[in-house]
Amino acid sequence: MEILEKIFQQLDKAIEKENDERRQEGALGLPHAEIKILGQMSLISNPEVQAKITLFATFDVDAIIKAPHWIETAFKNLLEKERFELDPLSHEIWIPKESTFTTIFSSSRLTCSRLDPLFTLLSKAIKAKEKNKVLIAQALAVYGDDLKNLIIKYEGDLNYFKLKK
Amino acid sequence: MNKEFEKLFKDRRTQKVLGFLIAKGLLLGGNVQPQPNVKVTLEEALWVGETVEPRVIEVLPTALLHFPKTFIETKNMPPFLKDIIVHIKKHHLEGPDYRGILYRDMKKWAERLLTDKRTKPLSEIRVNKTYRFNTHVLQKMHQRAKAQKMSVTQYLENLIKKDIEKS
Repeated sequence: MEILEKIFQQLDKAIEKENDERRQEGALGLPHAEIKILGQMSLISNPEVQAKITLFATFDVDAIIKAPHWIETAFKNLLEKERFELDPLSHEIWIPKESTFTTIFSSSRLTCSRLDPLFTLLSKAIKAKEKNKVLIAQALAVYGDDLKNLIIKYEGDLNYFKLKK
Repeated sequence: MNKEFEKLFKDRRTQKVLGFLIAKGLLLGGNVQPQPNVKVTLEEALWVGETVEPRVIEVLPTALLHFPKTFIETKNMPPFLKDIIVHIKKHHLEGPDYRGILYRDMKKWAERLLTDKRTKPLSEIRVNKTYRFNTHVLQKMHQRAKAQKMSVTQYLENLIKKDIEKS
């Protein structure tokens, strides 16, 4: 989803501008910020996943943000301009310990990444299976043993994702 | 795509329900043609929500509240859905979850401005209420509101906001 990349670029520019103003006033610039996209948005914003799995989403964005309040607020406002909403309970999302992330935007001020699909799907299969039954069933057909073995490792219920004929 | 899923996604009901919700800015994604002007039976919407995409259930209370003319044959609404809608209409902060879908999420979508901009979020809809004030309080209220170039409603809402911020 290009919108997300556009938002990150806008955020980066906004931070740059804010830093310039702060420096002109003799203050310190904002520290480097990190945003990690999780949940359905990490899947739907990934063209590779979109090509393999039919995905739908609400306008919720789950993200772990390591940034000062100014940057978090600016990010929220930019999301809202595009009708997205940052979920305040994003930090409650389970991220498997072996998870990897892919960087989708990087500058000296800001790094943005998204949780790789296998781990987003694993998290959903273990913690939110009811809401993701068809999604995980599709994903099992695409990611095969990689996803299957992870679901088994975390004692997920593989049978639950078998669709009725 | 696996044939089983292809059948589910190409189903007429799936295309219609998802097409409507996408057209109205309640969902995004998928290769679905937006269909803003369809009529949807409640049974079709529930079938898609239960069988294909549970996020349909997440936004269904909002769709039913904001676009009641789109939905037909709603007389036999399941009790869970009726209950959720009543809670949302009454602005309850807490209410029943349904099959892994949180009430707070269902409520959240009802309270945001939709893409058509004609549909007011539930939180902005004004409700008539009657309160009985002492004459001198009423007089003060009018004076204070006038001095601050506000309506009495705005003045009272402002006081309440300040009180909430304090606590």
